Amino acid sequence: MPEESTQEQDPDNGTTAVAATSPTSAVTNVYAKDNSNKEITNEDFDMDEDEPMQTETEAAKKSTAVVFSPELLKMYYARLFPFDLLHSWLAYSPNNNNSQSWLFSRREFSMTIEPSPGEEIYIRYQSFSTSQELTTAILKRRPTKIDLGAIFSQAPKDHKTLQKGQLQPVQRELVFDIDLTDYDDIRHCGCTGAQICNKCWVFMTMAVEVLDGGLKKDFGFDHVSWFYSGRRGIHAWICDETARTLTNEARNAVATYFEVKLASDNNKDVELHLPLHPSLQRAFDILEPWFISDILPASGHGLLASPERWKKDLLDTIPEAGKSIASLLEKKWANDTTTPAEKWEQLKKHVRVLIGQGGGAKTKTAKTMSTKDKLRLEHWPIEVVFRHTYPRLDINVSKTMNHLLKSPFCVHPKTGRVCVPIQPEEIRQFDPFAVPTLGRLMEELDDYEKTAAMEERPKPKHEWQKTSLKGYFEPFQKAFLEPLHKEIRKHDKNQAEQAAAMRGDF
Amino acid sequence: MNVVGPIKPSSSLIAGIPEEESSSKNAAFKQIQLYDEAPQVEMSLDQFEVYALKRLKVLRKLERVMNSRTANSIDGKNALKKTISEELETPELDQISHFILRAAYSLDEEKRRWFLTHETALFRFRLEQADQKVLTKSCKMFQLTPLHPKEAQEKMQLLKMLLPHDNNTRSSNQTFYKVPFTQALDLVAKRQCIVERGFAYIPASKVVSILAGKFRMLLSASLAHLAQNGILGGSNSSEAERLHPLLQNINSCLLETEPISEELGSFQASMVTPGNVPKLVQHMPLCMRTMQTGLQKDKKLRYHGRLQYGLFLKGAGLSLEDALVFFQRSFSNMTAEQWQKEYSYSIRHTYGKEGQKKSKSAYNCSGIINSQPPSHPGDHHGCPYKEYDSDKLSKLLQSLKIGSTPGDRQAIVNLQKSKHYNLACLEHFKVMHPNQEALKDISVDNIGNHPNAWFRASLAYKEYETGGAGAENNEKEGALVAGSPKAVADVAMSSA
Ligand SMILES: [Zn+2]
Repeated sequence: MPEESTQEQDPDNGTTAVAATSPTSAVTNVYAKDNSNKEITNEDFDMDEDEPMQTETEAAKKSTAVVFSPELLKMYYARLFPFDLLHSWLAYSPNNNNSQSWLFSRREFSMTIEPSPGEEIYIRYQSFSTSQELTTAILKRRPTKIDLGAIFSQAPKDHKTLQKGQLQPVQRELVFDIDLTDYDDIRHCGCTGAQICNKCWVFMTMAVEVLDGGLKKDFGFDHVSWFYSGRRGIHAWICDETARTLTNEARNAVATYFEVKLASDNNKDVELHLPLHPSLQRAFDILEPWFISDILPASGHGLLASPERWKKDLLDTIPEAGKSIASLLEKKWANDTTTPAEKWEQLKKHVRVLIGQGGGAKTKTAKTMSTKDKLRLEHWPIEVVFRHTYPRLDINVSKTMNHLLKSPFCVHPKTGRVCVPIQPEEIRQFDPFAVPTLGRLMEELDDYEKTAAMEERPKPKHEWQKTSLKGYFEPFQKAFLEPLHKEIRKHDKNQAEQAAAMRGDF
Repeated sequence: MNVVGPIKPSSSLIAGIPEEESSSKNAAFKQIQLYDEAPQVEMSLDQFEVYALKRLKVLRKLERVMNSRTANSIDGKNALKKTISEELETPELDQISHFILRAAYSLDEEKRRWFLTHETALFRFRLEQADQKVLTKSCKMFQLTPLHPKEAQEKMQLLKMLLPHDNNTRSSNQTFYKVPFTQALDLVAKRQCIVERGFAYIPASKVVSILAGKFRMLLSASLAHLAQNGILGGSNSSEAERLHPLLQNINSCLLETEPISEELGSFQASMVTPGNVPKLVQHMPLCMRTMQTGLQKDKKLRYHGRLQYGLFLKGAGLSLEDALVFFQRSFSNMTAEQWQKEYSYSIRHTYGKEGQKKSKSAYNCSGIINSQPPSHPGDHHGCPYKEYDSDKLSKLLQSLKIGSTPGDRQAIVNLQKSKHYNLACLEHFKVMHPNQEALKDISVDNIGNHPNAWFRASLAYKEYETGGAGAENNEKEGALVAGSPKAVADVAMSSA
């Protein structure tokens, strides 16, 4: 069997498919789902479809680069995977390593392994008493995917010996999953499905800005950690104790609070109320500038960049009572040179005037229009902005404690990219295409070794500090783990003091 | 006697108005109880049962009204109000009957959940009907105090938007409440409160929701406690022995004796009730049996499944009202609101009450075989003989203990392998119903062509076997056999 690299161009989109260059790296074509499977129901999972991701960066364009292979994965687990970070987070205990944490040892891990190419097995209800046990298991099994489940009343690995009903989820981070595939109807960058590009990545940026603010300001959650899913989406893990102990009902309520349903052909009842709820007002204030800079112009998603688009996707959606605006502007814009942003302002102004809020004398229409129609029109520009920008949540992921979600720090087998932490304050600078692939990480390690031999630098504590992962993992440590541990210490101290005070009473 | 286990003690339990007023017709709405202290009364066992049934009548009425189109209509509310006033006529009866049912229903999980949902709905309904005075007292019961005027003043800009437009002018004297957001979940979900740093700010007009939530939490905790510690909480064991069978009896009769739908008088219709559908699976062909299993497992059925199974149950005599009750109970992972909003429509649709308003009839086998194949792990519809491979089918038959020998199962699998789905289904029937004498007397028409025929025949067979009140019905069925065209069933039967 020939072992040469078979570099494949995907004829449909002209982009580089993940290439196989060694006999062991037959991943792309064997990653098909094996449906004969096992005790798991797929509904528990955040499913990734098997579509290639459009890749645009320099690194990926080096067509010969291998981004993922079982060999590379093995090396990643052996040298780079941040077991200590994962453990010290999931243990929720600042006194790391030697102390046993039930929060860690009763956590469900599930692993997807490929014992032979093409065969895929999910193993559920794994749990590990120590970081060392976890490390050993991962090094041995080399899972292509690791999912994190809930923290149970008992160690999940004992599930077979436990009586029915004894294994109950007792804690779980509140999680959110946002995926670009849910934006297909408003993506006009050419991407569909699993493809992404920098133009549509702004939807993720907007989602982080809206949700992060809401979670912190409204719900008072302080320990929110964001991750790139490795492919086309982002995950949020809210780790405050109050969040971890929420009931399913409460999770549902929080997720629904962040969900905006807009009027559609099937549902004319708009859920927006005026004045806008403060959380929606805040979202609107964040989103409208994005809408103007990234949705309207041709350099973005082009909503106001061509007569076809503005007619079909904007003017035609004006409620019946405002149809006069549509025909007026359609004519006006047919041959003028205003920018998309100016067109948007014009449009809003026309709506305001029509419903009698434009200042000056009220028009005849404004006087005769029904309150309902006025409200409908007043909503409309907000709805437009929300339709094209508001975060689209997969709320089923958030609703129950039991839902499995891909573990941070895994590698997406399709892209080879690491599921890295994202700092919400720096979301605007985050570039998914700059996230290292396994192939690149190995090169970085080699480069480091070469220069280190010459320069005699002090040896870093972790191997990942020798690579670009450092730029993702260290801020996670500093901005997320440290404050989390600080709060746990404070909480423990308070409890100890309380207990001491109680004893003093007797 | 003391019917209940230990319950968290609390101070004042009954928010009410002075004695003289509570004797009026609507006493049930003037005194709203938390039921956090068990009554200590002597009563006869007869009375005990009467009380239980009175409250049950109220809760069942509530369940039906909640599930009907008239849920929010004045008529629906008035009817409900009337039942409540009539049945729970005194505060004592209200309290005692609550505790009897609480004890009886604590015996099994599904019933605990049913009781919790409907007692909470009852509590909520009474609060909604109550006047301001009662409401204020109820807030006090739950230690819910209005937001401090100073804080209210500071937040007025924000809070004002919670009030209806026409109320804006009076907003400065409005009362607001501040609670952890977890106590106001449905208001949070609908963004009908302000949420700030984990606290929900709520206008007085929405406080009912909070109180109902708190009530639910208390009741849920005490039900869990009862379930763990037993009804009598370790008290006098001879009393326990005496009471236990009685409670068991109430517990079982409560869900089983469903009122029979008026328009369906046949013996089968009377058998198909929300409570006994799960028990009737052994009379269902494999497609419907797997549907019920799937429904129980997922606590949900997806669109095609709802349609296929819903129409089958309808054909089997389940009324719309009962279907709503049955499916809502089965979809037990969701809140009443969610059910109402997302699913009850589709059940009504099945009965022709929504959408095109055409009453659909149950799918026959070719409809099922040719329907859109299941494509999702949560899909349980379709014909299992067609959708399953023979391995999976064999395992399923074995796990359901179908047939007395492996040969029985093999016969079914063989027919399936040669793609004779209808005959495989018929073979299943034959294996399950081996008494040739009985088969002579019932209609085996259309088995293998229509799941409802299978079901009907299986029930008729059981009637024959148990020699019950079947004589008259058998005659009717017999007449049907004679008059109807021979279908695949008959041919295969005689060749067997
Ligand atoms: Zn794109």
